[in-house]
Amino acid sequence: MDASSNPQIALTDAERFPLLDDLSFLNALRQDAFAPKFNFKSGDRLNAAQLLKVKAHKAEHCDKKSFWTDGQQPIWLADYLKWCRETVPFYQNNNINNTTDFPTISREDVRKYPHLFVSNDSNLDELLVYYTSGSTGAKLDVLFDAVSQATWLPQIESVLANFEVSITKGKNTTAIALICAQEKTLTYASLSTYLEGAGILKVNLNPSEWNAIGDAKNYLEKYNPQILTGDPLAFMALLDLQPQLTPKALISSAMKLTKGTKDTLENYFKCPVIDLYSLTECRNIAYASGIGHQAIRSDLYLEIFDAHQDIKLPDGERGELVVTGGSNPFLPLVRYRTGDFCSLKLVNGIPYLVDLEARNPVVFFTNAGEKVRTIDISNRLSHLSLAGYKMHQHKDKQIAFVGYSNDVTSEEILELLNGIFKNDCAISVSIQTISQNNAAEKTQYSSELMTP
Amino acid sequence: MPRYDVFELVTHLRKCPDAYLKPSNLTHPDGLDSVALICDTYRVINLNFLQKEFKLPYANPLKWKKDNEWRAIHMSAWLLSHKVFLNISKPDEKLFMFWFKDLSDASDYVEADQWINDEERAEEMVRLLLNRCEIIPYGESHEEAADKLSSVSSAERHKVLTQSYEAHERIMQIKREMAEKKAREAANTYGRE
Repeated sequence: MDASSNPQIALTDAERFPLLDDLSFLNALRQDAFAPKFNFKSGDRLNAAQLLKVKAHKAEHCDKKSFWTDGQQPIWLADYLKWCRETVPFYQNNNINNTTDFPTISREDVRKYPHLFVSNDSNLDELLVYYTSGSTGAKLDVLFDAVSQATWLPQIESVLANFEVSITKGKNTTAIALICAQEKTLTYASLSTYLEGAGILKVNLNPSEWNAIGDAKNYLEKYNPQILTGDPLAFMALLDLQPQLTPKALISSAMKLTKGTKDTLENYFKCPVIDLYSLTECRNIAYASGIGHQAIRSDLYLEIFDAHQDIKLPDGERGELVVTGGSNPFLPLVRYRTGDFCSLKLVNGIPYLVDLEARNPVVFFTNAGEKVRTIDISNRLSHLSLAGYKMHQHKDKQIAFVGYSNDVTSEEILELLNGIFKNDCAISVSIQTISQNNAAEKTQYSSELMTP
Repeated sequence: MPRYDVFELVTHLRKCPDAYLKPSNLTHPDGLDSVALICDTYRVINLNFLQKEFKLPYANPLKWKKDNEWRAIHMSAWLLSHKVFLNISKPDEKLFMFWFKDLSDASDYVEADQWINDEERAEEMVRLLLNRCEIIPYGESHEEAADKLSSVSSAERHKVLTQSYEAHERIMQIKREMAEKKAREAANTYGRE
């Protein structure tokens, strides 16, 4: 989530870190000679009871070996739906008895009526709000609490465990650095109570955010974060600095990670690069694995629906991913349409999202009218080290392709696309180099022609 | 089996004689003898004019009742004088609950005069009585009767209004909190979404 808001009211460090007494490492991160011009302060806000809830979430939902079985629903689902019906105003007005009666809801419902999704059981003193511009949709107020925000960490720990990676806890290590490479974003140094005082950084590689050339490289090398998070564009911008870092893993999200970019990053950083699928509305959902994207948490029930009608599709059929559950009392989701498309496969009780494609199921056409699916284009482009791209088909069927890369050429792309479109489409390709302050849009595919 | 026609009973109630509209002697010296009226009504309904034991609240609660409630009970005694009520089985418990629970609850929201001046309130008293006596009005199913009682019930309406008000207040409170919290720092972000 890009917290693009500009909060006016600051907290004290005691309010940011109720359980941490020793903030010396935080001060070191903030006051380092190479430190960026941090424009914000942030904490995890966890008190003792909330910290226990985060740990309980790990035990209950992140360490499970089986989420649900074929033809069955998760055991928590009936109680969760009952609770939603009884305490969440948005669902109270529906005369519904079980999951098959619940209609799907959309991002538009959450955007228009965020207040109606707040459970009557929730304590408004614990409410936190992000205002996000959203990379793929209209602006959104995201309501959450400190617990649902901090559960990102155990969820990621469970993913890392599958790569035999663990985060070292403690107050003299930087656990996570969220890397950005954009015009403007909130930046801060912080700590994690759950990780026993380990450092958390959010930095923007944009040179205007640093005091001197080379500071970004020097700062990151000095604190050498264990885990780097960000999107492919930011990672490629980081790679451009050739930093001497030894991360345990990179976690890429928000944009599609091509195999080419993944290989480039893994070769350089000598660690796994994990392609994470997450949404602002419910955070982590799945990560890329051999079969497809493997679900991370057992508290999210996943279903596939028809794109246009409220009809649940059988396992194995491709359609829109719909999620139910989560740990956010301020946004409990029931059959929330993600806008993303895949089919579902259950392997030993763990769901996999097969051929997951970002929202807007666009179909392109050759001049002869032959359909070309975006999944086929994504697969063919994936071996190139494109940090991102967008592709648009005009009404006259001309295709405009813009890619972001420092080494892929437009000739390579053109040859590949001509192959996919059987030389039956006018295609223009431009490649933009990646900088430390990109303003790239994230939407990949669009068309002025009819979509399915 | 008599025909319990709601329209006919409402018409009967609204013709309530002035004598029944007086206050109670428990609240006014010149008022109607409420306890005597209740006892007479028991006798008539039971067709037992020698009846001496009556189901009444303990002495003190009789005096604590407000005049508004007593006057409602007086009017209901007139309603019960309609011949169709002569056939109620085991009426003592039912009438006791009707007077001292149902009418008492409704009287919190209904002025005594409304029971005969306002047609909907008259229908409410008729339906409260029929419901308590386990009688389904003529031409209605059990579900229809329950729906119609719910739609005219003053206590029910008050409950809904209170719940709506509370729900509205909660939503306003959430909106205020959202505006306030949006201006504040939130919590650490660890990855992009």
